[in-house]
Amino acid sequence: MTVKLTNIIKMSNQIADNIGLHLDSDQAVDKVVNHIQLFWAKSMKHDLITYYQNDGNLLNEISQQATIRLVEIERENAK
Amino acid sequence: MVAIYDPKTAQNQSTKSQNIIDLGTPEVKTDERVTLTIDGQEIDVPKGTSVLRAAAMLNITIPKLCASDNLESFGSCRLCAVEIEGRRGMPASCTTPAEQDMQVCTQNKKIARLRKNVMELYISDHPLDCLTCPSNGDCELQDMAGAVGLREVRYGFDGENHLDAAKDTSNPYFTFEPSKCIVCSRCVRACEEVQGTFALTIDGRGFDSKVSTGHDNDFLSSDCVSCGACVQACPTSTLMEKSVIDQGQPERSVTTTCAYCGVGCSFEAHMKGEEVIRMVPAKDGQANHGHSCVKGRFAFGYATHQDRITSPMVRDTIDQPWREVSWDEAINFAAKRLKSIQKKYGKDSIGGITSSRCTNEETYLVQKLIRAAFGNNNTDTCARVCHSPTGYGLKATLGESAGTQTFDSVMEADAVIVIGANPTDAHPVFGSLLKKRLRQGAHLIIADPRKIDLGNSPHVKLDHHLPLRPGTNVAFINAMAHVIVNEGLEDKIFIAERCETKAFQQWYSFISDERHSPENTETITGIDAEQLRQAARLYANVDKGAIYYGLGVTEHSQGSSMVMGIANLALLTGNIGREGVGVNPLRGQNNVQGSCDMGSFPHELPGYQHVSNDELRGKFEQHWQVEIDNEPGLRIPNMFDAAIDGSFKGLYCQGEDIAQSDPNTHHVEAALTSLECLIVQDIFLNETAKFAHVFLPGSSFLEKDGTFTNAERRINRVRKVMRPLAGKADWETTMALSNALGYPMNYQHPSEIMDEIAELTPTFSGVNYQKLDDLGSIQWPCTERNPIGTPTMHMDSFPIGKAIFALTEYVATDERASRKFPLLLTTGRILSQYNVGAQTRRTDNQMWHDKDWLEIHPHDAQERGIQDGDDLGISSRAGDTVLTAKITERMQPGVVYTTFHHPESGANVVTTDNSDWATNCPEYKVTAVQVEKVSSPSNWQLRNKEFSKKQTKFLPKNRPGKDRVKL
Repeated sequence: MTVKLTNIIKMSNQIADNIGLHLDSDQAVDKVVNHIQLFWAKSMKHDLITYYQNDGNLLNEISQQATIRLVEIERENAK
Repeated sequence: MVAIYDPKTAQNQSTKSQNIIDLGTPEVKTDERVTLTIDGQEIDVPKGTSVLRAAAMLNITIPKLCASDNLESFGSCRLCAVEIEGRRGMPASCTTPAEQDMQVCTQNKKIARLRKNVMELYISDHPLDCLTCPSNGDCELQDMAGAVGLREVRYGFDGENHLDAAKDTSNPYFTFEPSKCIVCSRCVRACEEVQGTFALTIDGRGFDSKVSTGHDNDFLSSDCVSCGACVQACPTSTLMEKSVIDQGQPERSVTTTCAYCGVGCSFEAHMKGEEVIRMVPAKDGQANHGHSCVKGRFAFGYATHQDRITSPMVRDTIDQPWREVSWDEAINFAAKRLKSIQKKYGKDSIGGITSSRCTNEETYLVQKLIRAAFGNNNTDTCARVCHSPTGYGLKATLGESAGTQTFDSVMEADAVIVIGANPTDAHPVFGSLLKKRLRQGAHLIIADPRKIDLGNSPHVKLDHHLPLRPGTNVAFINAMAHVIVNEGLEDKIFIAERCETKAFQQWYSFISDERHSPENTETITGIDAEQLRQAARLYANVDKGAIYYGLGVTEHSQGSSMVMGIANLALLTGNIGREGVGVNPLRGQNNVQGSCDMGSFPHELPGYQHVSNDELRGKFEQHWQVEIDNEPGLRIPNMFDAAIDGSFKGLYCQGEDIAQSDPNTHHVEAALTSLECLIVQDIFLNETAKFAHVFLPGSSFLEKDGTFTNAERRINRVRKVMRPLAGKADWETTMALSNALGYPMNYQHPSEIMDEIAELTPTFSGVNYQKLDDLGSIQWPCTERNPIGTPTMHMDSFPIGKAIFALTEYVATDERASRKFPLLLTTGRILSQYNVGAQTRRTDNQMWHDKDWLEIHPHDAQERGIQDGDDLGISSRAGDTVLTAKITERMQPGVVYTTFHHPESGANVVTTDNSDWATNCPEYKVTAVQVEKVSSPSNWQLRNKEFSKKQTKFLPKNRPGKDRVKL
């Protein structure tokens, strides 16, 4: 695994760990998605999605859910 | 000599005449007024004002020597004697408070005789070498001798005197010549009252009295911190800048802003032609009020150092020597390379880093170049690695990414909490102001893994030192809030009126949980629960509590959470929106606030306007006549990862030494080596430039016009005092690059850039150069509603309406002490050096700190058999380096500390790429390490030495400036 991908996974999990606590899973996913949308570059989002689609095991539960949501948003935007 | 002195001529030559008039004693602040008559003129003054000051306010000049309006009155020189109707004798006007209906006479034959006699006594023990004296033409003693009409010294000069007293030249920047001293105590009082160091004293009594730096000390070995306050206060040539001794009196003065830390002191650059003779703190400087530190006051020689590179240079690979070329050739070379990279690897394969050392206007242009000419949002700045969590955390809670107060606000504070900051070293002029307030009796709480000097300052009582373990900030701040909530000490009215109810209720329930109690967090933070409870009560119970914090808050994996935790605490206690309170980030570099304001971050356009907001982005697109990407770009650490991955190939880096300052040096070097085009714009061949293909020579702050914004949101003017050594100011270089890339920029002066900033940035809408010249400085927001700026933020409302309490759960960092790496390394700064040291290492400040040390607690040292001065190998999971041991009880057991001012130290070889969850700000403050005695440098140090030697050899042999004389 490349350093870049290792860091992407770590960052995503960190965001979920810090924002997601005390919220129900839907709210936590919303917050993580919103954070990634606001602060991450396109290429980073793309790397996260690609990793999730190919493997995704190292992502925590909230990060996985957030990535699914990001895929949906990308699909929406592509329409 | 005295007889031929002509004060009129002297006044014209003196740069002092351009300073604001000295009213003799400090201002008294009270609503009570008294009216008195001085020489027949009536004046109404605040009760307690001295007669000397009242007279000066009437433009009546009473001679004086020991008085100055930045020092408490002292009454030792007796020169300011006056007569007061109905009183006996001639009291000193500096120590006599004005009273209602007082009738004062400042001049008659009797007074004149007394003053002449006083002067005669002074001059009877003073060398008569005015013509060859360095302060000739700028000497208060000389002025006073002229003013009182001294024509003879009846006592002769053969009696007992001090004329043979030995001169102390130990300080690199000024001399102490006691034979010229009149023992007025101004230097001693300046050291106490202005700087707060108490390094000087009057030794002996009567005729034997002399200014002393303590027993067996000279200036260099004493506690003196070389702030220059004593030199500034001296009315004679006793304390004198060596530059003036060498070069003579300056002939003109230009007001500008210091380019070191985020205090942003105003200085008078005293000039002779295009040479800076000395930098003198501006008395009317609104951030510093005439005070300075060793860096701003004296360490400016780097600007003309022989290491300055003043010709553009290019090369195809970093294994080749540099070729000096014309500006046009260098710019075209850079533009061609960037275009070809984008053609080959895509639009997003290049980016840039704006400089927090450059002006607002220059930073604005670089991010505009990236967004408009590069066509992406891959822009970032050094704030990424220092205060990006401040931007995130304060915006999320208070609605604006900036501190809430002025520096002066601290003078109203009843209790001050300093968290992860070292103001006496890193923000010295604010540190002095803070110490002044603490000496007046304000309470002090310090939360820091180390014992910092502030807590050990003379006449300062440290109420609580909370020595938390690195990495546990959030557990600590939550415990503080828990105590306040648990004991019902919160400001219920403020919370009800100013804070969002639902968020508060949610937070209240979160923070009330017992897991946040000091007793339960004690094992995490290491802070004694009772101490923490007392500190929390103290902060909550005073009327005005202020929090000051630094990189010890932000540079953590939970940096943003901690900033929000601090904002929560201030909101909880109603400590926002008034004088004397607030959340105050002590910003690192001179313009780090400004570089954030100017849109350097990849997700925000100037004024923190998000790129994804169509309306806000549209405004820029229309003005810039270009389409702007609506998604954020890469941040600095992301750029490094992408470079190593092969998708990021070109970087334009202005005034930032990422190779030295950023963490995990191996990773950074791998990234820089992966680039096909690295353009470095700097005044020196810094560590990053050794990996560059294009070198564009930068300009120092003395060589250009512009503005810096300091930590209190104060926009200050930077004024050009000399032409750029390389021919272009940095903003002109960025324009040239943009034009070569096909995006036209044609500003004639930085004021035009500021006009554009004001047009596009709501919080800057009322800012322009004319107003800055008129007002001296402006604290943003400066809008139609606040036309002269906003000293205190959030007084009536928050930009987001009501403030938001944020949930800040403590999440331990991955970086933990282990059997392999049992100690925690934390990093910081020292007074005499600045950041990567590129500037201060090229000055005599080297005398105080010529290498980085590893501070270690005696217990940890003993366990490892370490003695002071031993070479220590320090290793982490990222890398290893060798530093010199300094055993000190400042450290707590289990924690070691170093600075990163010297590139050869390789402090950042050891730090890791762990970062803040929200902003990617690196976790410099927590690295698990092991330390052991070694006998040779690390492999990285050996490699780096060879690499640096090779790269220096690649410089052209006869480059201009190589033989420039160091000033």
